[in-house]
Amino acid sequence: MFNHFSRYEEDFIQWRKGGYPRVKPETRQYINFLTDPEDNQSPREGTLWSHQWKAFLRTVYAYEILGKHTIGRNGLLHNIVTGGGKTALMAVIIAWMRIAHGVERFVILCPNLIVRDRLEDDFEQGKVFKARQLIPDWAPFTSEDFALTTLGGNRQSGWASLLSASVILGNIHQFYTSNTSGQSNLSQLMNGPEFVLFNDEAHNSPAPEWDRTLQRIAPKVLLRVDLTATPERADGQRPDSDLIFEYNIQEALADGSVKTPVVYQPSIETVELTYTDARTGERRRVEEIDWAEVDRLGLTATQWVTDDEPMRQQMAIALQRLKEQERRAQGRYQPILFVVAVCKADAQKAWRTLNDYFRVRTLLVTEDSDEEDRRKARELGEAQRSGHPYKAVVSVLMLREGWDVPEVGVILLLRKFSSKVYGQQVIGRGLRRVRTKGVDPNEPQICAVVDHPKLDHDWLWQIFNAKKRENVSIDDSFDETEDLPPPPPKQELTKPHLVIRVPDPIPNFVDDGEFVVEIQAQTLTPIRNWREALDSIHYEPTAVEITRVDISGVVERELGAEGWHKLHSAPEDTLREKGEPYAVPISDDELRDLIRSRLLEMAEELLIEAGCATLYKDRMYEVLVDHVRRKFLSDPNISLGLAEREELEYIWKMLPQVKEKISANLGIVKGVVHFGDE
Amino acid sequence: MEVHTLDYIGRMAVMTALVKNYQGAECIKRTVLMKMLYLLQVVKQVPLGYRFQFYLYGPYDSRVLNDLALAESWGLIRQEYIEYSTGYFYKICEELGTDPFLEEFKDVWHPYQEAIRWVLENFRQYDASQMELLATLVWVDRSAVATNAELTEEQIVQTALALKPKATEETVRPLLLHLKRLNILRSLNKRLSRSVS
Repeated sequence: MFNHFSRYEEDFIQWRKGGYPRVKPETRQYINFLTDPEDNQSPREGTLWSHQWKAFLRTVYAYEILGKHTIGRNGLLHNIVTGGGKTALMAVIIAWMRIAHGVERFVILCPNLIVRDRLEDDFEQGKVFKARQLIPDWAPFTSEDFALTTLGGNRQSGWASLLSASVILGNIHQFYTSNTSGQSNLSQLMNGPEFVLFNDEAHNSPAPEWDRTLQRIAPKVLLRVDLTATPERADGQRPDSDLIFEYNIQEALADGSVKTPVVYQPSIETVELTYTDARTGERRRVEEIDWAEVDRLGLTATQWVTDDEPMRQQMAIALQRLKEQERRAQGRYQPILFVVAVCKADAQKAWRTLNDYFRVRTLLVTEDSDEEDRRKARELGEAQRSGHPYKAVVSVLMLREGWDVPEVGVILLLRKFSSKVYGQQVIGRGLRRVRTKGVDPNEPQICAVVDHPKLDHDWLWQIFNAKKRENVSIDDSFDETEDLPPPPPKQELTKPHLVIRVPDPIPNFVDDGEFVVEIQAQTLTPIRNWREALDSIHYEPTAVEITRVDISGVVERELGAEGWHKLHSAPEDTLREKGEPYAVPISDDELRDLIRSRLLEMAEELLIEAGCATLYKDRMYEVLVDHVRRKFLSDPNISLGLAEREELEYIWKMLPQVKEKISANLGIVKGVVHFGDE
Repeated sequence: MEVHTLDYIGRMAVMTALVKNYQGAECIKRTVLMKMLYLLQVVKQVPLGYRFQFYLYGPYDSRVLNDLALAESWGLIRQEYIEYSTGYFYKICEELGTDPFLEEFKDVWHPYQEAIRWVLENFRQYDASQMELLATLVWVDRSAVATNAELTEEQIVQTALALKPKATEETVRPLLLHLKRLNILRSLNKRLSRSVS
């Protein structure tokens, strides 16, 4: 993303060296208050971190020196890595705008409840102003004067509280005109004084309704400041504000302001696959194959982390990392294992496995979780005092941006990331440094990420410059503080005047040159008779499961008639655990819910794969439910709610095949969208 | 032939009973525990279901480590990593959860109480390096049995020394004698019985 500030960088440097000329006297006085008495280019200890200081001064320069007509007509954007302290930046801008410009009102917009709850904690009773010593004694107000109103929160709510509010914290939806309370809130805001707007997690703002709401309130906005760690969204859109400051992961690593990510991947020598009859559960065959051969089998990437045995293996490796983190914490805080699943079904399975199999106290947070569970998730790090803390939390994508628990020390990935944005957001949850009492600010801290080679996440580890440990077995123990990689060199802009903006593509430009790059896009034709096409799909009622993974390191020798022969493991009999091996127990109703929720997810995934809008999710879901009933129930006229346990299990085992087969013919999905029931 | 093996609770119970009864309150080195489990499975037919393969320190199965991690997670044992000047080892100690767990699942592990007593009585006097050699000797013996090979004492010793090149004959021979006295070596016994007849 183009940094609009780079062309002013040299002037900005001179402005700083020159003692901040041409700003309001109150601004200069406030900057001086924040400045280190020993070094007039640095912030005073205990106030801002170095990069926050740079971001703040750029905001001042952009607003007071350059002006909105030059930069930031739609707002000023700060791209700051997770753990980089965006809240303190908001707070210092609030204090400055009150001191120098007499602004009485500040509105902070956030995308979801988790972010809102966290900000509420930070701003409640002026906590962040006090913690960072941002209010000078000579200011005509104190930290407590920033009365906080949280729209829809537990403490205060409703438009009436907006009248007296100084800092208003809310969700953008609470200002949408599509509902009555949104209209009231918007009306109060527009009839009140001008304000400074903070658009937190601004990468969410390119949504049309969000955009419209920002435009509606723009006339009252003196200054808009956008903040995000990932300005570019998964769909390639970005906020309309002007980027003026970047503080990326490489810089944060170099400064030691975030934890160093270290990735652990298991070593696997052989894999045992069990093929079962999906209808009866009867084992058909067990196959043991070398790791090098597994690619030919067509297993899905996530099977390597979600089938029972591999999941337990990954969890055991993660718990080993948790133990290491506990040793490093030395009782000063409780490190937390954060497990990231791809769907609710996997999340529940992981949660049960951790709780019941490993007996690790674990919290589950999904979109169905209530306020109480969200509170627990938010306060995980503080739960140590309770004497019975959670050691792990399992989530789908609920705990993403805004969920900041610095105690997260281990991340276990039970999903594959294809999106750069989601991948970074999730890993970002573990990068915030623990800054609790007794922890030296210079103490090396790591975030251990347990990954699997089959998930192909190398691109993600390159972004984070993460140290990668391959061939990790369950008993390996590491002291990562010994040999952490040196931080990557900081990229400094040495000749800002040479920066050019890469122009946007000309819309109607046709390249008639010699080299034409053809995009190999699959043209999907909607299938009018999609129902027939669906009915004609044939399913092989065999489910394959990874039932054992053996780590490498085994030495084999040959011992012939006179000497060596090939040595095998001693027991040659077919081994079966007495009864069933550990399986996550699940009731009939839970299984029904899992099938429904997986079908709903599949509906969305298939629509995205086919390039269709997800607003057709309900229609696609109905089609899928009907399809599995017809294919896998003995009586297709009964609903899932009345199906017997055996049939439900059969459906559950066949769902991966359903997804695979329909994905192979996305014209069906397009047909459902285009032609419906015509 | 299909043999039913113990599930994870059973394996943890046997493991925990071994840890608890190992020289009273002393902790057991992980290598010693691994080899005792090997002997329990191979010699006393305790159906642990491990698939031991030959590794640097003798017969080994990573699933034992999985079970140890699980037992630690359940608060049954504690693994301690001990570093010394030339290497490291793990020792495994019993934890507060041991007694209630063994009591709760006594039906599962009691059938193997005698086997556990046998392995402790006959092998707890050996340190980790001796247990590696003992298990290696048994491994050589069972590998020969699996291929219907008959080995002399000398062949077993030399094969074991080839697998464990740092060991010496002086250390291996007394261990072989111990196994012979316990009547464990089947490839050797067959040969002896044939020569006698």
